[in-house]
Amino acid sequence: MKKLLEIRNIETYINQFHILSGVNLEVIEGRATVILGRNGAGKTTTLNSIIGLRPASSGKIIFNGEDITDLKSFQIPNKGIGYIPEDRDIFTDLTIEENLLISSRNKKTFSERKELVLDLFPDLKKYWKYKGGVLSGGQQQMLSIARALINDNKLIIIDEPSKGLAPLIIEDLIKKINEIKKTNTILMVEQNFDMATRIGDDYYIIDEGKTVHQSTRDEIINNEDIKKKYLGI
Amino acid sequence: MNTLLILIIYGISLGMLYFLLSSGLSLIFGLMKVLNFAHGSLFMWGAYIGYTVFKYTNSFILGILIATIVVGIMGLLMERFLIKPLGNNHMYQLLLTFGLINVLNEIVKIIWGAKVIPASKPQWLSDSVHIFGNVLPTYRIFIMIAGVMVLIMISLILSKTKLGMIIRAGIERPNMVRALGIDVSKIFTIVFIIGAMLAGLGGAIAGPFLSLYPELGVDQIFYALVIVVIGGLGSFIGSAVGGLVVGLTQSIVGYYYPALSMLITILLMLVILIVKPEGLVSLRRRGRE
Repeated sequence: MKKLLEIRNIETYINQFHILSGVNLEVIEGRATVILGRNGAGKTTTLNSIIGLRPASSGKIIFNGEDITDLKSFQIPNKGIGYIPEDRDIFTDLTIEENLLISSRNKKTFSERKELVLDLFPDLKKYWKYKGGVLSGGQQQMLSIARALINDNKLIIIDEPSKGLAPLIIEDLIKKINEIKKTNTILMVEQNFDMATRIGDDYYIIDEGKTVHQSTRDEIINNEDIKKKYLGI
Repeated sequence: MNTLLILIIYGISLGMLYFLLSSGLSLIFGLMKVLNFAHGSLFMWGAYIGYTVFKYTNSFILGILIATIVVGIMGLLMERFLIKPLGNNHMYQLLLTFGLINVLNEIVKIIWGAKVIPASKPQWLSDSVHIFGNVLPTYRIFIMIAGVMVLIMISLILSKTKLGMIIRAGIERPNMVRALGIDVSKIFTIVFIIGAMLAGLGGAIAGPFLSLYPELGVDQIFYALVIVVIGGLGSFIGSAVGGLVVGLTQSIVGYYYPALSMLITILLMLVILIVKPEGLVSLRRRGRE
């Protein structure tokens, strides 16, 4: 099994605050890895360090065999990483088409990838010329995911996809992410334990900026002590 | 009725001049969050360069072209060597651009002197046209046409090209644009050049209309700030709307109550700041949650 992403003991500061103080994790190619943890544990900062928006001050981030720790933030996605942020961060002033066009790194594959994305999210086809700002929360989440899928990325990073969405939409989202999982490697942060365990294969728990637990799906579901201690459930 | 029509036409031409002055400032602020106080000085440099080229070549259009290009190059140098090294420290950027006003003004005094220079118009723009029995200077119509052409051209770039999409996306969420693998710092440089070129173009066109003096830029930056606040900071269309609002206000109020013209403009800005602080053309649209 190939390690697609390896994080070795990274430390990250936000201004004077020491947010990550020893995060370690591995993402195996073809699998979905989920990061769990309480609010403020450092999950989103971990993803931001990988993508270069909050660069790690020490430690190593190895992607596909290459050290990407010190790359500039715009260089990292070009290595084959798609990022779906916590608050979707779609461009509200741009249409769905424009959101996907500026996300596409390869003009030649755009039409082909577009068909694939629109098959997965038919709503986006329906509102193709609509601006992102008029879409519902669920549709904005679909667009945010579509932006990552418009390129042939090796790794898709998803930050709290269920945040702020209604239960019915979350159900649909779980199905869609499981579809994506068939062809992509996924690293996901998710607070919704039910959703996390219906998608993930491997699990890490981050607490107070450190990796404190690693397990498989069965282990995390059945280990009541760990769930109580680190997740409060 | 005829008077009001002429005042409206005068107001629109003044508004277009204000649009040329403020659009670059607004674009730069929108994307880079840099409030370039030296923008007025770039406008002034455009006026002086346009005047000088016209004086020596007798070609007004060449003067406008060279002023636009040279001020664009000045913008490039400013961004690459002065603003970029300061990173995201907005206080330093503010102090730097304040300081640049003095530097650019003093250089103008060394080259062209401190006296007011009445820049002349080319012969073909010195005539008048008759509209409904009223005389309208051709140069006013030229300013309107130039403003509308720039508005259409930049609007097309912003709406139809990938660069324009990236600029619009970057104004809203620069970090997300980076996370898509786009080098935002290159886009910053391009936008700063475009903003400076707009200032140079506006200055070259405004020269024969306003006359040249070293404090021209300082006087004009005040109007530019009022316009971008009214129109919406960062919004290109907003600066056109803001320019027209201020131009029409100054033209109409200035005719009937000249002493109140400035006061009404400032009051208008205050009302907009209270009622719609994001400006008349807001950039952010909320999603339907």
